[in-house]
Amino acid sequence: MKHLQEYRDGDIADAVARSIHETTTRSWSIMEVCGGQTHSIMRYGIDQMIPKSIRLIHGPGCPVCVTPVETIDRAQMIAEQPKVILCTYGDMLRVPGSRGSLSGLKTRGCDIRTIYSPLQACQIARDNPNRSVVLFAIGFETTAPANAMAIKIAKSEKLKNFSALVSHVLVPPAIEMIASDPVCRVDAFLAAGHVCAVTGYEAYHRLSEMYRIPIVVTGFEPVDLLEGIRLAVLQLEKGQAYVENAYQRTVAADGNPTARGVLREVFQVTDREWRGIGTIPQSGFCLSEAFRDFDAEVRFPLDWKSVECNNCRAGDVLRGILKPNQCEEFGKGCTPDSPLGAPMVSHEGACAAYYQFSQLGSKANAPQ
Amino acid sequence: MGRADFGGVVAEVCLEYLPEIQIGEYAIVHVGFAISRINESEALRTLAQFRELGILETDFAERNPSV
Repeated sequence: MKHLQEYRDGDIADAVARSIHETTTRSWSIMEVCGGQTHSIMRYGIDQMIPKSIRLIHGPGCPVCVTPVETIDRAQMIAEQPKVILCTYGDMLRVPGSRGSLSGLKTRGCDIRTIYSPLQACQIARDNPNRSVVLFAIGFETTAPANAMAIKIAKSEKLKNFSALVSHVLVPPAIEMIASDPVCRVDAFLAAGHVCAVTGYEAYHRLSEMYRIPIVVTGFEPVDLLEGIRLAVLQLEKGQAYVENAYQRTVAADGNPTARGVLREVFQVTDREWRGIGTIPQSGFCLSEAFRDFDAEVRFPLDWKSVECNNCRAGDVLRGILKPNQCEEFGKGCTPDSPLGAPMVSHEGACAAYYQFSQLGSKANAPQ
Repeated sequence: MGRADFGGVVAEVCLEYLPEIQIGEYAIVHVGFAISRINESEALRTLAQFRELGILETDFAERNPSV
């Protein structure tokens, strides 16, 4: 595919990595916020290509992982209601709540459908006028425009049997939470390229200035990640801190203004609980007043107190305090087939990345 | 809606957020929505910079003339 080959080229990756080695004189900790980037780092052994003095800390950018257990329980309870069809992205199916997973409910006969695009939920609602169709709308700013469009279409078509269980999260408040932590050990952030493709990166200037921390917008291919790290290290070595875009072929400074406009129309910013981390102020989207009629939480008022009840240390992994393979349960009590927590389930989860690629991760596996 | 070729698999993609995209261009697609057009000149410029900065001795096109 066009341009992918260059950005996966082993020789270019090696050359950029060499440049990082030549530049680095001190120890630095760099956090890649996005779980998709964590997977690329492990898959291509990027952590093996850079100097040992540069530590990559994996951030909380896995939407499935940070969806609160209450929300997962609520989705399950909604799916158990008569005549309900719950539409969810596949990643969410096996995430454990306090009463099991959606996958378990599906095998017990609840109508839970895996969707690829939220527009499928609209079609399911059109096709099933006597059923109540609920879209489990989770994700970061990358996914939010798609879910917003499905909700907007439902309103314009008066699909009264459609509603959305919204649990969207936002990246900049999570970066701020980590950067403002008095024991913050992160020297620079790699910002998630596909989130910025929607939002742009204007919001990061304030964070970079306030916390004196470099933020580099970075893509997902090996050369992208190495270039993001190179630019972050260059800033750190020079004692500089500003926002830089290492993913210019995809990200514009103002993102996608059309998508941002629809987000403003359909959603409003709200406090949001992040699983394993706690509540972060103004860190999520809920439906705006104009779309409140489509809120599944209003349509299905359920009273339930959720509890986390196992040895999963996902919260420590998501805050970058613990590497996945430092967890006592990693690969023993917790595997992708039998996960204790969401990071072992999701294709953006750090634990799944370590489990899947821990036998690889050497320079010999760098792409050609 | 439009149709996108994902390396051989063709699927329907919502283009509401990228109305300006032209046939033959490349885009980032997420959950069935095109969210960003891949800017070819920027893609090539980043690669060219590696040579300008001395990170690469030759540029990609020279080493892979068939590409």
